[in-house]
Amino acid sequence: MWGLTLATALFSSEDISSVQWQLMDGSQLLGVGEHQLTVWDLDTGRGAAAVSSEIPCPGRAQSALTGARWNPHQCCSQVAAACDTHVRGFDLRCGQQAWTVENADAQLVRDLDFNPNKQYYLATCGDDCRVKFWDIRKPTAPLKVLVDHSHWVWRVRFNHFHDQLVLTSSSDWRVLLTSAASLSSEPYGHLLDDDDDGPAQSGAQLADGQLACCEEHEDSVYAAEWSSADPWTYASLSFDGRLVVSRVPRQVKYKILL
Amino acid sequence: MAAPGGSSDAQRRARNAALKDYYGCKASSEMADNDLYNLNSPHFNPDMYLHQLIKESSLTDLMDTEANIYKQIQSLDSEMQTLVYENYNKFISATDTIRKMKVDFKKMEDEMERLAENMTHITAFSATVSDTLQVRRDEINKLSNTHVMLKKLQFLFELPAQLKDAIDKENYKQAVEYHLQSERVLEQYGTAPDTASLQGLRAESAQSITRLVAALQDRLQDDQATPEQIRESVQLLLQLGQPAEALCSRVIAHAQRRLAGDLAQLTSQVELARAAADSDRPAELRLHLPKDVLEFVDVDCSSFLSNLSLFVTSYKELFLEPKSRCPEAASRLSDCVRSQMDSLLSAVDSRLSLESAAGGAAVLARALDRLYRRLQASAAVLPEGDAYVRAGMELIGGATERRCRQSLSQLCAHLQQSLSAVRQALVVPAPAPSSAEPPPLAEQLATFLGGLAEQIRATVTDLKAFIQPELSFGVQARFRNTFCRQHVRETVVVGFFRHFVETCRGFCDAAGGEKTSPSVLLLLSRACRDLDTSTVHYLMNFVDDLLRIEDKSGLTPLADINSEVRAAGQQLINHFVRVQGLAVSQMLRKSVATRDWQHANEPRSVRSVMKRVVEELAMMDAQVGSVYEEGAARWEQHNSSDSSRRPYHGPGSQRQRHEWSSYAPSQVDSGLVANIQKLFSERIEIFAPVEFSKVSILTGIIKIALKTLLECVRLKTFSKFGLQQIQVDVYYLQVNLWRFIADEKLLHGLLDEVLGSAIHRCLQPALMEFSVVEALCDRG
Repeated sequence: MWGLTLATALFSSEDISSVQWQLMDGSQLLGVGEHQLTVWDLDTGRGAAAVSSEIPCPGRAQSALTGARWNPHQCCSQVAAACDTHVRGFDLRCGQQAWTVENADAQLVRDLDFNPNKQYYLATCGDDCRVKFWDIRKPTAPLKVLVDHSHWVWRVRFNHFHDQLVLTSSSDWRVLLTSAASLSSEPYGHLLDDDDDGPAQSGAQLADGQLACCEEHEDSVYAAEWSSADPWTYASLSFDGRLVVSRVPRQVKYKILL
Repeated sequence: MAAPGGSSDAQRRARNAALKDYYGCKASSEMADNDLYNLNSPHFNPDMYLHQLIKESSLTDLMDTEANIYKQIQSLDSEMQTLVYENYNKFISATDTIRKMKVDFKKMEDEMERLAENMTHITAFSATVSDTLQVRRDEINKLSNTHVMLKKLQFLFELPAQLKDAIDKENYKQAVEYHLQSERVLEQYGTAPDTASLQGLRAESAQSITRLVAALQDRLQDDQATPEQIRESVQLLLQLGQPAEALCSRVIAHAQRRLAGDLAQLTSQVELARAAADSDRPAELRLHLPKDVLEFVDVDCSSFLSNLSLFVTSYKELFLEPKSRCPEAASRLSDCVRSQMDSLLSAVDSRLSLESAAGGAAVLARALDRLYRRLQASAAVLPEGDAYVRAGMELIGGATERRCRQSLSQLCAHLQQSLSAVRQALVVPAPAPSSAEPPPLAEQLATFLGGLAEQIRATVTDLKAFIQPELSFGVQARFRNTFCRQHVRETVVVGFFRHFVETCRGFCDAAGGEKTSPSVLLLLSRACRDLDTSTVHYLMNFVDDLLRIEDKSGLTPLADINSEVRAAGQQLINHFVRVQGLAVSQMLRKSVATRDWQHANEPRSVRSVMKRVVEELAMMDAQVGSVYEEGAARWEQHNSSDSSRRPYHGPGSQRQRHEWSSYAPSQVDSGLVANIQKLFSERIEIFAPVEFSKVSILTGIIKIALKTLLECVRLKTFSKFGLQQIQVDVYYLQVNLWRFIADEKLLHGLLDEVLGSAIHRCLQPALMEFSVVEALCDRG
C-alpha cells in the first residue's frame, strides 16, 4: 500500500498459521500448517521462493500443530514443532524426526523456545499452566518446572542476550519475567568479574525465581516478545488489543551486569 | 551467740524453774520457811510457830487453835496406844516361835554328825577295791588295742576284692570310701619294716583305683549321663585327687555337648518357622509345623535355660564353693555361659523376627513375658546374669519395635485394600443423575473412615498387650515409656497418618493422578476433612488415654497432624476440581475445535454437547453434594432465578443492540459498560484453591470449563450462524448453570466474555433475537 511491492508469494497445501524467518541469514522461511511444516528457500535477489521441504508431523487427525521454532544452533538445520502434548524435533537435512519430548505438557503444548546461548536447552509451556525446561538429550524428565501461572501459558521466550531471563504470558492476564539462572549459559555471572571480587560478588547473584509480574493487561495475554534491539525491553499483547512495553527492573539489570 | 548476757541469764532461770517444777522440788529457801511453821514437817520449830501464832492471831483464834491442837493431841495419843498394843501381841507370838525352833535344831545337828561318820567309812572301802582291780584293767586295754589292729588288717586284706566288687557293681562311691580309708591305714603303717604284703596290697588297690578313675572318666565322656551322675563322678574324682583344672574343662565340654542338643532343637524350630514363613518351600518341609512362639519360648528356651542353670549350679558346687579349686574355673564358666547365652539369644531373636503380625500381640507378649521371667530366674544363678537380663530386655524392645512396624505396615496394607475396595465399589455402579437412590459415595465414605478408625483402634488395643501390668517387663518405666511414646504413638499412629497423607498426595501427583477416578479423590478429600475435624483428634486422644501418655513434650503435636491432613485434603479437592474441570473442558474444547464455524447452518437447537456438559455438571453436583455440605449461602435464590433469564447485553455492535434494548434498560454503549464492569470486577483465578463446600467446588469446575470455552472460541472464526449458535449455547449454559455456582456475577462475566469474544471473531456479527434464543433453549 505504501510503496511495498509483493516480492514473492508462498504456496502451501495447507492453511498456514504462522511463519518464521530462519535465524542465521534469513534465507529460509518456516511455515506452520495444520499437520505439516513447510520450509521455503528464498532467493531474495530474484524475488523467488521455492518449497524446500514439507515435513508431515505424525499425530492424530484432530490435533493440529500449535507452533514451531527454528533451532538457533547447528546452523539452523533443525526445527522443533509443538504437536498435541509432544514436542518433535526435525532435521531439515533429511526431513526426518530427530528427537522428541513425549508428554511435554499434560494437556497441550502451546509454545516452545530454544535457549539461544546454550545448546540442547528448550523451554515449553502449555495448558497445564506450567513452564518446563528440557534438555533434549534427556527428554524423560524436565530440568525445571515453573508453576507461577494460574491458567494456560501461551508464550515462552528466552532473552537473546541474557538467557536467564525468561518471559511468559498467560491467559490468567499476567506476563511474568522469571529468572532461570541455574539453567542459563552464565550461571555464575560473568566469569571475568569473579577474579576481581569473587566472594563479595556471589551474594548479589541473581537467584532463580520470579523477577517481575506485569498485571497491566485486562484480558488473556497471547503474545510476549523481547525487543531485538534492546535486551532489557519486552512487549506483550492481550486479546483486548492492549500492547504493553515493559523494562526489566533496574536492580535485576544491575545484578546481571555487575 | 549474739544474745546479751542478761537475757541468757533470764533464760537459764526460766529453764531451771521449769525443770524444778517438773521434778516437784521447791526452792530450798522457801521450803525451809514453810517447814518451820508446818506441824507435820520434820523441821517444825514449836517456838517459832508459837511465836508466830501469838503474833498473828487474835485471842479467839488462839483459843480455837489451842482447842484444836488439844483435840489433835488426844486423838494422836489414843492412836499410839492402839498401835503399841497390837505390836506387843505380835512380839509375844514371835518369841514363842523362836523358842520352838531352838529345840528342833539340836536334833538335826546330831543326825548330821552321824552322816559324816558313815561317809568316811565308804571312802576307805572304795580305795581298797580300786587297788585290787588295777592289774586287770591294763590287760583288757592291751587286748582291745590288738583287736582294733587286727580289724584294720583284715580290712586291708579284703580291700582289693571289695574294691573290685564295688567297681563291678558300679558302686563307685563305696569304692572311693574304701580307698580313702585304706589310704589312711596304709599311711599309718607305711613306715613299718614288714611291708612286703602291704606293698602287694597297695599295688593291687592302686590298680583298682586306676580302673575306677578310668570308669569315672568314661562316664564324663558319656553324653547320656545325667547331670546327677556327672556331679557324683566329678566329686569322686576330686576326692581321688584328680587335677581340678582338667576336670572342669571336661565338665564344661560335657555341658556344652548337652546344651548343643538343646540349641539344635531351638535352631531347628527357627528353621521350621522360617520354612513356614517362606511359602515357596516344598510341601513336605512344611508338614512339620513349627511350634508357635509361646510354645517355643515356653518349652525350648525354658528347657535350655533350666539345663544351663542346673549345670551352672552343680559346677559352682563342684569347683567354686566353698573355695575355688582352680584359678580359671570361674572365668571358664562365665565364658561358657556367655557363649551359650549368646547363641540362645540369637536363636530367640531370629525366631522372634520370624513372627508375623498375623497372630495377635497377646501371644507374643506372653511369650516375651515368659522369656523375661525365665531370664530373670536364671540371672540369680548365672554369672553376669544381669547382663543377660539386659540383653533379653533389648531383645524384647527390638521385638516390640518390630511388631509396631509390622502393625504399621499392616495398617498401610489395610489402607490400600480399603482404597481399592472403595475404588471398585465406586466404579461398578455408575449412578445416573436422575436415579432416586443416593449415590454410594457417602456410604462408602462412612465405611472407609469407620474401617480406618476401627483398624487403628484395634491395632493400638492389640499392641497394648505389651504393657499389661501382669507382664513382668511391661511394668518397667523405661520400656513402657519408649514403647508407648516412640513406638506405638509415633511409629504406628502418627506414622500411619503420615502414610495416609503421603498416599493422598500420591493421588494428586501428575503420574498417579491420571488414573484415579475423580470420585475416589472426592471421597479421600472428604475423608481428610473428617479426619482433620474429628477423627484424628479422637484417635489421638484414644491412644493417649489408652497408653496413659501424659507428657506430650517431644511428641508430634496433634495440630501438626491435623494441619498435614488438612493440607492433603485441600490438595485432593483442588486436584478433584482440576480433573473434573479438565474433563468438562475437554468436551467443550473438542466441540469447538472440530466444528466448522464458518459454514454453520442456522441454529435450530442447543448443541448436544452443551446438554452433556450440563448433565455432567449435574452429576458432579449430586456426587459432591452427597459428600459435602452446601457451603456459603447461595447468591440470593429468588434473585438468581429471575436474573438467570437475563438477556445478553455484552459488547455488541450498534446494530444489534436495539433489538436488546427492551431487556437491558440502561445501555448507552454496552461495549463501554462491559469494559467499565471489567475495570471493577475482580481478577478471576481460574485454578484457584477451593473451599470444602459443594458450591465452591462446583464453581471451581465451572470456572475452568468456561475459561476453556472462552479460549477455544477465540481461536475460531465465526460466520453469522456460527455466532448465533454460540449465543444459543451460552444462553443455555446461563439458564442451567446458575444453580451450581456461588457467585452469579462470575458466571455472567465469563459467559459475556465468551459471547463477546465470539462477536469479535465473527465476520458478520449479527445476534439472534432474544425470544428466539429463549424458545430454542426451552425446547432443548
